[in-house]
Amino acid sequence: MTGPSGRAAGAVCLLAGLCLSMSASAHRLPMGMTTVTYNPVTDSVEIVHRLHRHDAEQAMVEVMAESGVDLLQLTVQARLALYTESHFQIATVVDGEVGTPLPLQLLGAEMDGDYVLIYQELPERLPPEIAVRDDVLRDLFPDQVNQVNITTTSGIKTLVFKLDDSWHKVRLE
Amino acid sequence: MGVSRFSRLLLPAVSMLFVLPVFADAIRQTKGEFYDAFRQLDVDLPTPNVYRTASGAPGDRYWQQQVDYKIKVDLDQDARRITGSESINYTNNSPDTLRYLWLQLDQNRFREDSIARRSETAFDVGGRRNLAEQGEGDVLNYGAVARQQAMDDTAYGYEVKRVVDSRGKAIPFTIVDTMMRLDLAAPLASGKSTSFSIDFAFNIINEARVSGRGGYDHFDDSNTDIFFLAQWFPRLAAYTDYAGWQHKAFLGRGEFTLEFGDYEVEITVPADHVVSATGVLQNPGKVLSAEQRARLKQAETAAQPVFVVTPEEAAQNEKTPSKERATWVFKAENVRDFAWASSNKFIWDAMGHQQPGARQPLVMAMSFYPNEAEPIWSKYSTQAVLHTLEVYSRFSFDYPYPTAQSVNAWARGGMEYPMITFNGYRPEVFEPGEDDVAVEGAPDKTYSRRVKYGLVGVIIHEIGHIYFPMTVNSDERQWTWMDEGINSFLDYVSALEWEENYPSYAPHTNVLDYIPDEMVAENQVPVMTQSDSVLNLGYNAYTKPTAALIILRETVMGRELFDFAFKEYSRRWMFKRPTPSDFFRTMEDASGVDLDWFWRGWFYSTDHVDIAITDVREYKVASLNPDVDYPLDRTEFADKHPETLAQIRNREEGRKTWMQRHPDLADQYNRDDRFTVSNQNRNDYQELLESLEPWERTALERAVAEDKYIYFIDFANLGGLVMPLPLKITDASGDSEFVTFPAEIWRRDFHAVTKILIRDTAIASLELDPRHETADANYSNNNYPQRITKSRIQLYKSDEEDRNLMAEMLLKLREVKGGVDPDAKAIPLEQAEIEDRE
Repeated sequence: MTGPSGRAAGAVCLLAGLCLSMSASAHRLPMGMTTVTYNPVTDSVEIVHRLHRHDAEQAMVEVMAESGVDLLQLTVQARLALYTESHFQIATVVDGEVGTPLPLQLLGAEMDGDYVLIYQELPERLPPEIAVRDDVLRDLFPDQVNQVNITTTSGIKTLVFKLDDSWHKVRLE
Repeated sequence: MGVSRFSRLLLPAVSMLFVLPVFADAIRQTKGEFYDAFRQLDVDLPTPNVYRTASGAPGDRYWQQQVDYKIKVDLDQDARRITGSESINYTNNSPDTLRYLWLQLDQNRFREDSIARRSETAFDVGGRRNLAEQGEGDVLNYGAVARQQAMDDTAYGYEVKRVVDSRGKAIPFTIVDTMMRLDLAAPLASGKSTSFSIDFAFNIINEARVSGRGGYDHFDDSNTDIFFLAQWFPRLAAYTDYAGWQHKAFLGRGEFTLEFGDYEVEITVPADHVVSATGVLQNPGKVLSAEQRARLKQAETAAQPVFVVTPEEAAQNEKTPSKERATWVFKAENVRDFAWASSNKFIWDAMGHQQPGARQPLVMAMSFYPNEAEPIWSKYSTQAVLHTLEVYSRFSFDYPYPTAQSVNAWARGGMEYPMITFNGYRPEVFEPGEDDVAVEGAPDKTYSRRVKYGLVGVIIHEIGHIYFPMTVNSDERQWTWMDEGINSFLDYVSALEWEENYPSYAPHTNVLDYIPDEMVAENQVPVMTQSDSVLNLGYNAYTKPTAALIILRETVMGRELFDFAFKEYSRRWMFKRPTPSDFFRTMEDASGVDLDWFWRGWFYSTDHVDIAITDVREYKVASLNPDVDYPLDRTEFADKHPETLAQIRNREEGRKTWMQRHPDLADQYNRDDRFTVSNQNRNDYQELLESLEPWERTALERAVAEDKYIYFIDFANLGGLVMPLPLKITDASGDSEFVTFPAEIWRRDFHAVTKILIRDTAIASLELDPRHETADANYSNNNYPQRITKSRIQLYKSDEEDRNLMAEMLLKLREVKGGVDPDAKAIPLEQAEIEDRE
């Protein structure tokens, strides 16, 4: 529990969260998948978050402090969408530092079988370098892992968010 | 005596790295861009020998070691400590003489000086990580702190007290991390046995804090515990024909492979405990009441699970701890490991599973769980066990053991051992809110869909592991996919047979639609990667092999051939040790289907599937007769080249050309165009007909008469994985036909192929893989004519009614407190969840 040498000896932080419990033989890993794709037809960047229904429902139990929440309800879907909006950001990168967040628009959420999809949109192209933060469910479940796939002209760029990750920077060309 | 030599450990695999050339393949294409996706795997697979045949079966001199154990173990509940004494009989069936034996000391993984512990990174424990690039200090999460504290407070790892031979003479031993070498007094010749004894002890980990495959689960409210002991005694490492001693250190991920043998285990615990263990209870008269024994007997033929220990008895046991001790004796034959669980909290239910004609005609399916796990466990656990036995046995072999047990050992996750599995999921405690009116008869516990299907799913999966790898003994230390992938495939099949639309991969979430997002990503590793090195374990070791086997069964091989071959693999390797090549070879050998391209693509590479229809061209057969063809050509030319606008307007203006004003200047070129048939053309045609063989002329005449449509269809392989081409062909009348071109269509060109289709009617449209059976990552390029496919978001936006409802709801919620949900607990936004301790 020691800080890094030099600058901030006292800057050791504790991340809020449940205690770590790596399941010995995980049956289904708590994993979120987000795809970020430019759609030339609409000239916008489309962001689709896919969460397992069970994980999302459990998260809403925590967030709404109610038991037995049901994602089939519109209000629960909307709350999940708002929760996701506040936990996912794409920002510019300026001089190697995280710059200003891009104005992602929240469209909504819908069920897809055993998954729930949350939609966001950016009505412009992405800059050549971006920073991404994806804390969705990670503040609630310590073993939640989120993967963000960003489609670029030269292939998919993958970012993985786990444990104490915050911003990841990525060049898109 | 024992010396720890962690610092001198040298793994053979490490030294091999230096000699690996950039191109490991002996066969290389160094000119052009030809890639042989169908190159046979013979060069890459191990050479067949007398132990493993080229057909994937055990060879005529197949051997494996036999290790029998007699163990006495004592659980100190208060000290949370295990003390044991084992006597081991080791039979050397190998052709080799052994001068030493290796044992696994898995508990040593929890020692402070273990390789596992010292090589932990933030990835493993959520601990320290330099976040300088983000302008943060180092951070540490609560779990990592609690784990460190648990490790500070208690010394974990084996205490190996005494290792002696059958005459009581000390055997020198050397501990190397999680392994221990015993130096035999005399070499053990092929076919001979040796016996020795080991006394050992260790402190049991608090599993929820330290994380492992066994430990204790503490219930704060009642100050009670469930103990579940796995990897709890020094076990012989596997000695094999393919790897020698499998003594790669246990790093926590690559589980284990062991030898089969017979076990007799005496477990001494507080008298109020109920014990579940690998094998069959030998002394029910000593540890169960007469009534409980009668219930157990009744359960053998019952149609519903029967309580052997009722919820009330369990509640009583837990309230009145006993100072007395009781010894439970279990025997298990031909198992590769032994695990057990013990608690004064256990409810126990049981029901017989009948297997007429099998070597094991009666199997007792049983569950052990605390009252905290009710009501869901008594409703579903044993039923899920029974269902698993039914489905897996159909796909492989009759369940080979007398018991199959599901124990609720922890809150989440699952782990498997022979005849016993530890499974998670408990209902949530129902806590009424302040405003809730207390309802008479309201349940004190509820369970969500997540818990229900999580429980059924984990039990199917873990009980399934008793077949793979507990009976088909693949090497988990080396290949996670061989048990997790094959087992996840079968648990998916079983879930579909548990109930329709079972939400593991419900129709809308076909695993083959689910896996491409992963397969296109950068953080992929080949399925053929050693367990500890696999990135993204859930996908690469569980889901991707599942998807691959589904594609084999439903599309590439078909159910009949797949099921026959899979059953043959199970039968061949039951109670034996298969390697990946044995699986690959058997699946081909028994089905008669060449699958080398499939294994190469899906198991050896990180390519994904993206196949496109890039072009379609339509033709008719030309008669070659100029009197027939030329007028058609003229029409076609005119269609393609409309008259020049300027010429049309000149005519409309009434402008006469020079030639029109001087018709005497016209010659034959003004009378005939290029499509006018000349005698020369007719002569050429006659000469051509004469030059044709009679059969060629017949073919031409018939083709002209039939007047069929001929299509050239271009396919491009963009993802890299070659796959069959399932194609829906729809003609102008709306009738459609479904054909599948086999993957071999790609054998001479891995990048692009053209397929010719000859049809009576014109094709209106083509759709590649309409049933989503190939895991294609991009369906927008699968249609002719190209279909403007809308993105998910476009589709979502187009449903105006739902969209408006959602927009209103979002607005309503946002208006309260600037968008924060009014009912929510404070959601930590941004970086707010990081509290600075200063």
